[in-house]
Amino acid sequence: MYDIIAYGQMISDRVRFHSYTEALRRTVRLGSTVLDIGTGPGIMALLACRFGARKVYAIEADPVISVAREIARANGLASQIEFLEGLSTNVRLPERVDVIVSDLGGALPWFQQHLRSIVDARERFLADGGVMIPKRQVVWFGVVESAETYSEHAQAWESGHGFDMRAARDLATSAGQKVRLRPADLLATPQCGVVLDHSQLDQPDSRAGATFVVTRPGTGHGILLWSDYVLTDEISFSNGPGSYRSVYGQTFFPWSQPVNLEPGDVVRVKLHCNLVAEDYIFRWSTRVLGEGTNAEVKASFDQSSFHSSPLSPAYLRKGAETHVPRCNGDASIDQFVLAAMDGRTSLGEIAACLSERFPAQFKVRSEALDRVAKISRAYSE
Amino acid sequence: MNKLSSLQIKPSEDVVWRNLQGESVLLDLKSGVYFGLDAVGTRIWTLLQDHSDLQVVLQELLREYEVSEETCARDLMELVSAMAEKGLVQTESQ
Repeated sequence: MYDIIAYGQMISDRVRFHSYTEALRRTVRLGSTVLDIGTGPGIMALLACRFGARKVYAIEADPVISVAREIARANGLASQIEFLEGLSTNVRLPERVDVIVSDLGGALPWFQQHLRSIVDARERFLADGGVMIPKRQVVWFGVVESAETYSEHAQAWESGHGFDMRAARDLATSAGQKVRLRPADLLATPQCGVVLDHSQLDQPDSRAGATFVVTRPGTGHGILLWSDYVLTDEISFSNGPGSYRSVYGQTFFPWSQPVNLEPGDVVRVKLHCNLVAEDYIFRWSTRVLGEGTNAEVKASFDQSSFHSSPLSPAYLRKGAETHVPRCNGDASIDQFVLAAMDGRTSLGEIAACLSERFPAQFKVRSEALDRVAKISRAYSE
Repeated sequence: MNKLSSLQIKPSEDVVWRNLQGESVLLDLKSGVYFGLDAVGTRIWTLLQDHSDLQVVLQELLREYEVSEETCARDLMELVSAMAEKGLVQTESQ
């Protein structure tokens, strides 16, 4: 989730804001019904009203929705905008809508439940002939030279201050990161990796790929991904190298090792994006072939963000299907609190009972109240 | 043994795995389910990355571990069957 500063940065991204404003101006008709998924502070919902919407359903899981409600009231639009707290996949609407607008992705469309929400919303909420904004997202791939970016993944661990720190390097070169690179960093003409058409998309996982012919000599450090956000057939914007400084930036996937590239070398890249639980696991494979018909394989990497987190075997084992779990002491506390949430007892009363039952864990009452409040926020109505 | 020599095994493309201090954890990206392997299971999984012929895997295990061929073949078959049932490997009879 974003903080209020990040929401402010999104609204201040003039190209993004202007593009969405124009897309809504041209799409929303007098009397339209609109769904705004991930409304944040509510700006798209407000714009939809300005352009004639009869009713806007604005969905947001983040507590920022309370600010959105306040802003709607301040602008006299409280009755026109119905705010719904939660994930769009858990929400029901009383009617289908003419327009669904969303800006849920970030640098890449594969971000948390974004694509799943798009598919679900289109199927459950969009009226016949309705419009999705964005219409599609085009993801571009580039081969890039950026020693500075790569050093953040590798160099820090290679120098190691006299210690062998390669274990950390392996993790760091398995993680993508947000960057802002220039056209001069590209070593080959960018290629379209995949087009995600929001009117056709039927599941959140994607396979993308591209083949490049290197056009200038240099050191390849990895793959750069960026997006064209096609809001309508006439309105789009991009966060690619050479375009404006978007709030989202681009995403760099490093290679395991830098590769010296010559003009004519062929670089083949495949990317698999799988939504697992709440977020994506990325796999990217790279084959670099020298020029000519009997081309030598100059480099071959198979990488995955699954390798990017420092995890312990014990931690992962606890999530394995074959694991037989046994509750620890912490679970007894949560069980006690959940059992006490009977619809008649206040948090204060539960906290008092909790500190009495577990005096070693809760030496002061405020600690018990914090614990009870946390569970209440997660599980009470 | 006859069953073993007739089976070709291929790890699923949708499985990623990590070796962590001798043990490993496999994640099936299609189902989102994790699977844990102990040290021997990890060695078998590693061998399956390079050898699709179960007979070759068996011979390698017999070289590395003090175990009878009968026991090793039975345990290997059990693990491979369990993996196939979970979709971690694809099996093909020759």
